[in-house]
Amino acid sequence: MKKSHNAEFFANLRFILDGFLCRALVAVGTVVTLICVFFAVNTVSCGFPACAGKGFVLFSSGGALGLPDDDLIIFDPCDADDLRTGDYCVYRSASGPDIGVVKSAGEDKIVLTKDAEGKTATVITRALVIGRAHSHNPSAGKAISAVASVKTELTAISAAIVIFELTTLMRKNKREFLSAD
Amino acid sequence: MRISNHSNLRKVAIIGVALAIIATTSVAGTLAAFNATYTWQSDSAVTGDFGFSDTTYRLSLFGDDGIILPDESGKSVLSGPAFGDVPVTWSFAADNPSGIPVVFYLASADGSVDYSTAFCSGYNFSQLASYYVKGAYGESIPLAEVSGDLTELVSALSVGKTLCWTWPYSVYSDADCTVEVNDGNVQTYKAYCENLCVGAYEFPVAVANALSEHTVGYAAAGNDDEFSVVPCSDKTRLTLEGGLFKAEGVNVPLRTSDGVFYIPATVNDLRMDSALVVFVPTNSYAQEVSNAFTEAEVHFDTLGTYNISGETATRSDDGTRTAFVVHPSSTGGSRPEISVTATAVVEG
Repeated sequence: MKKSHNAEFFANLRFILDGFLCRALVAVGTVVTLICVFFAVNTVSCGFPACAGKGFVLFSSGGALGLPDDDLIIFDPCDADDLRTGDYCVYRSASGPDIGVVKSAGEDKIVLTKDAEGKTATVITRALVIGRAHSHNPSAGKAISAVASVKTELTAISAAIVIFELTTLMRKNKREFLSAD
Repeated sequence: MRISNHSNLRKVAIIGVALAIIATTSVAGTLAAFNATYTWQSDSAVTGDFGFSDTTYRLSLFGDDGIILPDESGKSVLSGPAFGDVPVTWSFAADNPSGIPVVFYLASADGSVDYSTAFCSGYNFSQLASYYVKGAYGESIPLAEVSGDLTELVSALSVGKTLCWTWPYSVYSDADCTVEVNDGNVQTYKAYCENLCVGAYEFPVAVANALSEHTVGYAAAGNDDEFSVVPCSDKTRLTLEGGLFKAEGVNVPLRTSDGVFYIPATVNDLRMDSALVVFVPTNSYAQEVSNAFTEAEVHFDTLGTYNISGETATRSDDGTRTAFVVHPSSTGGSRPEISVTATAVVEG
C-alpha cells in the first residue's frame, strides 16, 4: 500500500516537472524567437545588424587594434560629426565593416590608425562612418561565429523537427477528435 | 486525456525550441554575412599596391635597381582613375621593423613637394632638425619637417600625386644643400645607416665542386641572348678563393639583377643579386651540375642553352652549352627589410 503511494507521488511529481519544463521551453523559445525577429526588423531598418539602438558587427581583425578574430563589436550608430580623436570608429569598407582609431577628423576626411605604433593610417570620407564602438565581446563573437559556421545544418535539422512534430501533433489530435466522436 | 495534453505540450515545446534555433542561426548568419565582402555592394579599385620587400634594399615599388642604399632616392606616381565624388578609402602602411631611415613624402604632379607630408618611421631626426637632406627631385628637405606620424601623408594621398622616398646620408647645413655637415650627431646617424648595410655573401664550396671540371667558360658581358664568354681550359679553371671565383688569379666578372657585369674587388662587393654566369656542356654535365646545386641548396637559375663560337655565346634551342646563373650564399650580417603599401578603395 505504501509502495503504491510512493509510486503515485513520484508519478505526479514527474508530471508536474514535465509540464513545467515544457512550458518553460515554450516560453524561452518564444522569447528567443521574438528577440530574433526584433533584431531582424532593426537590421532591415538600420542597414546594419542592430537591436535596441545598438549596432553589432562580427569583426575579423587579424590582430589589428589588439582585437581577436571573430570579435563581436558593439557600437552606437552615429555620424562623423560625433567622432572625437581616440574614438573607435566603425565604418563601411569594400570588404565589410571595419574599425580604426580616430587620429584626426577634418572637414571632409577622417584619418584612422589600426595599430598602436601608428605604422598604418587610413583616411576615409565622412560618409562611410556608421558608428562609434564602445565595447566588444570576444566570447559572444566566437559563439556567433561557431553557430554561423553550421547554420545551414542547424536550420535544416530544426526545420525537419518542426515539420515532423507538427505532422504527428496534427495526426494525433485528428485521431483523438475522431475517437471522441 | 491528461497524458495526451502533456504529449501535445511536449511537442509544442520541441517546436518552440526548434523555431528559436532557426531564428538564432538566422541572426548569427546575418552577423557573419555582414562581415563578408558582398554585404556592401561595392566595387574596388586599387591605384597602386606598392610593396617593396628589401632583403637587399630592394625597392620593386619604384622599379629602380632593386637595391636601396644610403643617399639614394626615388619616386612613383600614384596613377589610376579619377575617383571624382565617389567615397574613397586611402590607406598607407609602412612596415620597417629594422628602422631603415627612409623618408616618404608626397609631391604634386608639377613636382612641387609637400614637406608637411614627410614621414619616417625608422629614425628620429630631432637631433638633426636644423639640417637638410636631398630628396627625390634633388630638392632639399628640411629634416625639421620629417615626422614620425603619417597622418599628414595619408591625408594628402590622391591619384596623380607622386610618392617619393629618400634615404638620407649626406646632411647639409644650408637649404641649397651645398655645405655638408659632419658633426657628432651626423656621424652617429651615418654609423646608424652603415650598420644597416652589413650583410655578407660568398660563393660556397659546393658551387666550386660542381663547376670545377665542367665549366667551359664564363660570361664577362652581354645579355641573355648573347654573351661575351671567357673560355675555360685545364689551365684556366675557375677556382674559389676567399668566397670569390678566380680564373688565372683574376676575379671573375659577376652580373647584377640589372644585367650589368662588374668585377668584384673583394668579397665585400658581393650582393644578394650578384651572379656568376657559367656555361656547361648540355648533354654530358648540365643535369649533373643542376643536381649538385639543388642538393647543396645553392641559389641558381638555368638561362637556357647556347652555342659558343669563339668568345661569343648565342642563345639556341639546340645549343650544346647550358648557361647557369649562380648566386652567392649569405654568410651572416643583416639585410633589413622595409615595405610600404598604399591603396585606394572605392566605395560603390
